Formats: sequence, structure tokens, C-alpha cells
Amino acid sequence: MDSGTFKKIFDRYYDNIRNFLYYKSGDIEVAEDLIQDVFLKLWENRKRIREESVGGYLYTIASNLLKNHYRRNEITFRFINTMVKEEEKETPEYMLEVKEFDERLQAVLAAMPEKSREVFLMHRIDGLTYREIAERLELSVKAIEKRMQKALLFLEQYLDQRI
Amino acid sequence: MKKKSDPMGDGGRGDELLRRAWEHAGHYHVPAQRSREEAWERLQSRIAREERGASHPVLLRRIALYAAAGVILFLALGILFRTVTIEVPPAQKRNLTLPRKVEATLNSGSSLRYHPYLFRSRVYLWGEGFFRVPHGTPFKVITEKGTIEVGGTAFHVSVGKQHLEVACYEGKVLVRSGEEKILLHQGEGVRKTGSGTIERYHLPPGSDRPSWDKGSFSYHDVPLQRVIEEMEKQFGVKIHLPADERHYTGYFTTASLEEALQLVCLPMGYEWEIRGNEVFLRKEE
Repeated sequence: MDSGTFKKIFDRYYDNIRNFLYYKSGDIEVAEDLIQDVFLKLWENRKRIREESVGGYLYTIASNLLKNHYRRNEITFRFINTMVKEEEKETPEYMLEVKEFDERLQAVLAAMPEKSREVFLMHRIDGLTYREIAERLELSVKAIEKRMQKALLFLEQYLDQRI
Repeated sequence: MKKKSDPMGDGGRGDELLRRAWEHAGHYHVPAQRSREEAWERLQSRIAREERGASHPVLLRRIALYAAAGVILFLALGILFRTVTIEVPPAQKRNLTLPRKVEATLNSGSSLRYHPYLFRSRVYLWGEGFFRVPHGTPFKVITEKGTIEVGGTAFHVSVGKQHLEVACYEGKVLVRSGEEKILLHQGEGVRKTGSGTIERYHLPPGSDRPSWDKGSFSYHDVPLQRVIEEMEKQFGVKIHLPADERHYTGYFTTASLEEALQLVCLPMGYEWEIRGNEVFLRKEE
């Protein structure tokens, strides 16, 4: 893998894996620190890694680094919702309602089991298909579908409750 | 990248809420502290830093390895190309066996250089030497005045500032000096003087080695200066000879200095005085 290929891989995976680290940790500082280590590891091992399998490799490193370096507490998400901004011209009442819903959703997501949460967010935020997620996490598409199902059940169960 | 628009299946109690969450989450962005470009810059500087740190020991080790290999090679070459120099002090002779069983006798004040490992068939001579070379062994004596090539013989070489003299006692000897190539057979000798004239001569019948090897020095029409130099070497003294172009015919032995002076100086009309290690010659009144 030459430095040109390395740059290409960086551009392709940087956002997704940084997000992935955020979905798992809920801490953008940790995510952006660890994403550096992920690519540093890739660079060090660039001679051994084939370009075709690099996606799975990067996600695996990211998971491992997080396990080793990050002690998980209760997490809080601070997702930025473009919908909230887009609809600023709406009535204050509506705005309040959207904001409330947003807060609730973020809290439910933070409480969701990690495996379901990361799959759900990879699909919704990164726009990855189930197949793409399956490839990156080195799982079957069936397993991804199962996790999505669990995520939806979790959302359904808790969204109408205040957490 | 086609998103699954409705994974929720048939409607349920929270159907509407779920649909809204689905949409809402689709508009989420992960907050960022730095852009991807900034992250790339940061990564590049970290890579540069780590490679500098990591590559140094490797580089140093490599340099050390090459240096060690260089030293070993240097020593090995030094041994291979090493030469041994034998210098014979005045008033002494030296017998030695060279590589390939070549026997050499060096006269007083001569020096011989040779390679014990490489180029074993050649020696570098200054002064006088007698060599006995086993039959079939190629051997070369290299001097300032020429090269003597043999293949199993006994011969004598004398080289000085003004002359080269080679005498063949056994077998054949090829002498190369300047453009000249002279082949000597047993009992033949050749003398080349400073002016470049070449004199061939015959050895006394029955001689098997140069007379100096037996402590006797015979001369036939040889510059007096050379005879005096030989005496200096043989007795380890300094002889002060006034300018004299004459030639000498006769002999001396190494039995005693006094006797040698009588044999050489009397016929040439010199008186002498010995003071310690010095001999002063003076024309007789």
C-alpha cells in the first residue's frame, strides 16, 4: 500500500469510523483521538494489509482501541440535527416540541444496547446499507437485520416514556 | 446507497413515533472538533514523528553493521595483501625460506619484500640476493632496474642505484630491464650499468653460488666505488673515498677489515686510517 492508496482509504473511511467511535463512546474527543491511532496502526501495517479487506480491519482496530483505552460510563449524545435548524421558521410551540423529541431520542439512543445502536446509526447517519455494515463489521447481513430489529424494538419501547 | 425506507414492518402502537425517530435520526450529524483535512495533517505529522523515532535505531544498527563488515573486510584485505619486509643490517647475511620453498640468501644491507599470502611467486629486491627456486615453480624477482623471471633455478641478483646484475647458476633465467629481454643459461651472467650498457659474462667454471655467499668478493673491472660500497656493507663501516672513477679487478674476503683494505686499497694506491667505525682513504704521497 503506497501513500496515495493510504490517502484514498483515509478519505473513504475517516468520517464513518470516527462516527462509529462516537456511536460507541458518545465522546467526540475520544473518537477523534482514537481515529488517529486507527490510521496510524494502518500505516504501520500497510505492507500486510490488502486493500480489499481494509474496511473490516479498520473497524476491528477501532473497536479494540476503544475497548483498551476507554472505560465506558453512561454516555450522552450531542448529535446535531439539521432538521431542528431547517425548521426555525416554525412556531415556537412546534420548535419546542421538536427539541423535546430530539432530546428524548438522543437519550433513548444513549441507553440502547451498543450493538443495536451502532448498526442503527451507521444506517441512519452514515447511510450505509445493511450489506455495507455487514462487510465492515465482518458479520452476516442477517445479523445486521437482527440488530436493526432490536434497535427498533428498543426505540418503540422507550420513546414514549421519559427516560 | 439506497436506504431502507421502511424496516418497521406492519404498524403497531408506537408506529408513528418510530417513523418519526427514523426520520429524525436520519438528519443527525456527529459533532466534530476538527475537519477531516485537519485530521489528515495531524496524522501525517504523527507518522513523520514516529518514523523518525523508530527508524533511528534501525538506521544506526545498519550503519554499525556496515561499519563492522567494513572493518572486517579491511582487516582481511590487510592480511591478504600484507607484505613482509626483510632488511639485512650491514655486516650480516640472512638465509630465509620464502613461500613455495624458495630459498633466499640476502647480502648485507639488502632488503626483500614479499606477500606471504597473495602473489607468492614474486618478491621485491633491493641490494643483493641469491635465490634457489624448486624446479617447476614460477618465480619473479622485481627490482627497480628490471624483473627476473625463472621457473626452477638458482640465480643471483644484485641491484643498486647504478646497476643491475644477474647471474644464473642453474637452469634458465629471463631478465627484463627496460625494453631489454635477456635469457641467461647456467653459468652466464649479465651486468647493466647506469649508462645502460649491457655486458654479458661467464661465471668461473664450477661456481654454484655467488662468491659473497662464501665470504669472498671477486671483481673484474668493476667501478672502485662499488667495491668500496660492498666493503662498507660487509664490515658495517663508513669508508670515505675521494672522487675516483677508476675500476678495480681483484677480490677481498670478509675475514678481516685490515686484510680487505690491503687487498683493495694498496693496488689502487690508497693509504687508510681506521677511526672507530670510519675509514679514511688518502692518496699515497
